[in-house]
Amino acid sequence: MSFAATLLRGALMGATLAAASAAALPAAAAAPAGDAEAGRKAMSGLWAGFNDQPRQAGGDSVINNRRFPPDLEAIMKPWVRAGYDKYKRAAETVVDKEPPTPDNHCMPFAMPGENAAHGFGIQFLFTPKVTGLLIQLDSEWRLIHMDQQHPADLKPSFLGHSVGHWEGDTLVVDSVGFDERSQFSDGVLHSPKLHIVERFRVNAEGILEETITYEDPDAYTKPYVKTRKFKRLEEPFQEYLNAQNNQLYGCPTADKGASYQPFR
Amino acid sequence: MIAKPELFAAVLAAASVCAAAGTAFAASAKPDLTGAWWATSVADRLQPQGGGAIPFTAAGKAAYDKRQAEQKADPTVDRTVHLCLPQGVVRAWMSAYPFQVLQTTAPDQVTVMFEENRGLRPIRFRDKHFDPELWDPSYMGDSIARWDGDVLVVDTTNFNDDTTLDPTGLPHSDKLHVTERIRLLNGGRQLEVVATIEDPEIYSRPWSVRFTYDRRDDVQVKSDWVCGEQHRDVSSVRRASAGR
Repeated sequence: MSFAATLLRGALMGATLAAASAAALPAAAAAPAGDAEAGRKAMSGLWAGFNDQPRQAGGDSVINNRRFPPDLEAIMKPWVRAGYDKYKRAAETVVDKEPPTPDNHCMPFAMPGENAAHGFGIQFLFTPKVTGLLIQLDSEWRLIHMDQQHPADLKPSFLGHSVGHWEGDTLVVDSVGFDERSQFSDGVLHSPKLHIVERFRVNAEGILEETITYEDPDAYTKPYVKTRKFKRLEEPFQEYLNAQNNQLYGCPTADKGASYQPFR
Repeated sequence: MIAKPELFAAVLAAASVCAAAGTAFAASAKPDLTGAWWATSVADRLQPQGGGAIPFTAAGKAAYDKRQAEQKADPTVDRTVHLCLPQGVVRAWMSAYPFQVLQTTAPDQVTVMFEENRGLRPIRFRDKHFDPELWDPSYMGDSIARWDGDVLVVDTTNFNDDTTLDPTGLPHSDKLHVTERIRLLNGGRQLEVVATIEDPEIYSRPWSVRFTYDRRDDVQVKSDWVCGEQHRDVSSVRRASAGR
């Protein structure tokens, strides 16, 4: 497993995902502490995800590193469960290499699993019409179109299509249109209906909190909510490309495209 | 590529970046380059501005001939195309696909996001480069910028050896130094980039290339290019036989 992928999994699998399922999308913050300008100012700079919860028991075996919190497993619909079980069986039986995943095929880290990479930075670039979100791992980036609607004819993509607005000093990002090969975590699928709402805000302790609500009625029996936390990093954003170095399954090429398909 | 961990902390501590006070929107008297930009024509080979031949050194010509022969024998030699790696400077400017520019004051930089191959290029308003002893070479190099009137002057060094300057295989060495003068034209409806290439091992003197792009408020740049999959229709972009 690559260094970066290990870090990513550490962050993804850790109890940073101190998750709570919710019955509905979170309501707007009751009393926003500031305005959009205050929010932009507070969020400027580079941030790195961290865990403030103990690691899950089970050590570092392949399968335990990939275990998603039980509360997500508990709400999987049967076809998601079946794919995940196939993935887990492969992870338990393949000894000489990892089972196929998007990231060991050099695919984008993508949504819904992206940007939790432990120790790697994310950075907002605020402009009036477009907010950029740089993701240091693999030098990925998202564009969040402010105060707009999603286009009607979206082609599915690994990072989806994102629109945003401010509620007080909270940046609210709404994303749809995800490629079905992108995953919550290795082997954890979603349907084309996946809808993600992220609420970014810097709390009183100076920690960037991202509360994420995943809605996917074709794949999960109810919405799933988790919070990621980020600490400020006093360093510049730096080009970091992991994917191109992956020798496990090879990378997509211009002539052949990508060979990856998820377990179903 | 990331810097060696033990050195990383040092360079990062030394780098004064981010979290600066002040508004996060670009709010200065300088031009705002923010927008989606798209070439109306592209060429596969760089052409010196004003015409004439590319001023190779003898070693540079030999390197170019060798590279062209290799690419002809095996197109996968061009990893930029074959693996969709970041295109580097100057080649990224030759893309037939659009790119997004975001100009911000916190961080104080101009960031260029190229749709093709997911290229990402932060251009920082700094007066000196990161220490190349601590900062690994990269596809897009280390870009610093200043304003010269209404022209953004970008100085870039510290490139890795995994790029060529154009799709025909124009080579560069680790001495490559690119200076770009970037400005708005026609009331902000167009963007002009004039890039001057210096590399004494490959080229006998500095030489320049020029690119122009149209502002495209109707276009949303895509950020998740996957190699070999279907991408946006670029049939409207003219394939020029000569430079632009």
